[in-house]
Amino acid sequence: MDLKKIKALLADYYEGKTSREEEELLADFFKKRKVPPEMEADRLLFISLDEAAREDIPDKQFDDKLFDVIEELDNKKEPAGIRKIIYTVSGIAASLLLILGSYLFFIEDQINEIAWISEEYTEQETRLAYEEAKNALLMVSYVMNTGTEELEPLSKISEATRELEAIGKFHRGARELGVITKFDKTVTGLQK
Amino acid sequence: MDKDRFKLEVLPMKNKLYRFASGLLNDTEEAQDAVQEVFIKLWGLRSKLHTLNSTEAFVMKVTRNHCLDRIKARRTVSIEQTKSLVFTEAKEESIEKEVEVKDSVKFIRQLMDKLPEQQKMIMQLRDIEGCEFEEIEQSLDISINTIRVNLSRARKKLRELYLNSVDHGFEKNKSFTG
Repeated sequence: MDLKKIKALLADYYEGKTSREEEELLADFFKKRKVPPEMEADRLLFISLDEAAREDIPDKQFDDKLFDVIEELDNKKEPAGIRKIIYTVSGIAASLLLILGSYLFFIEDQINEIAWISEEYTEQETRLAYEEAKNALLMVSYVMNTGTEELEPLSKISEATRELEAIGKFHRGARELGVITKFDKTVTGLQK
Repeated sequence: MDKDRFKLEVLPMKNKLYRFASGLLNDTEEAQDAVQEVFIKLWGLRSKLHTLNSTEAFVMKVTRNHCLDRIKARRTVSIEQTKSLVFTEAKEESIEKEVEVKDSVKFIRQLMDKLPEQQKMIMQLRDIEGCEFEEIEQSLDISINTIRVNLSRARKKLRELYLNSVDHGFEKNKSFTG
């Protein structure tokens, strides 16, 4: 390839207009041929780019090191999963124990208390206590009932709502008025 | 996607990703770390990978975002850190001047680092990885027209920088003659 052609290609190259093939031609030219001094900078550029393209990763053990790290990371993930399960299971177990523990604690307390009452008091005394409790409960129910008497006027409201049901009839009437649209249609028909 | 398929389909992109990351970050160590993290991320997404139109474009996108995040994080360093950074950078530069940059790859990386990020990424994908414009469009989410304009700017800028280096006698110190 003559120098004139190379120079033309080179001009295109600096404009970013050359194809890959043309750039390879140029690189090949500079690798093999001696060039005039005015093209020395171009030659240096092409030679350096070519050498830069052959530069490999310096660490020869790169692959091994990479997969060591990857394996380490993958292994770390697994125990984390097991740990999570252990945490959940032990959490559930702890809360169950807590519920069971408190249940037993209070229930046992109550059982003990009943046993203690029956031991300390005579039959007469317990019957008296029972009567007292019954009276107290009766009083409560009486007080509650006196309250409800004053709530009776509320039933008037429900009576009033029953009378409002007649509104439904109005709705039915409105539906029957739909016939008017037919009238509307005939009017538009006549206009046509 | 299991480990074997991952090794077969995704892992071979490592050198390409490394070059891309190292171009963006201008730090070979950090680039390796970045690529490892990208692969870990991809491993996490492995079930999703085969559903994509272009795995490669997606992988490039993940790498680009990861590197840009790293660059952003660098910018938010504290004043104390910046002080020490400026100090060490100045020191490193002087050492570099002493030994002269001999490695052509290192040199072009230094020059490319002067470009705006977008131009850097486009030039990396086109002139180093040999990607088609359509692939770059997918990887970087920018239109072909924008790609051409930025590529042209980046190439011209690099040529100018090389011209300066030639004028300053860089070629006499270089170990690469091609």
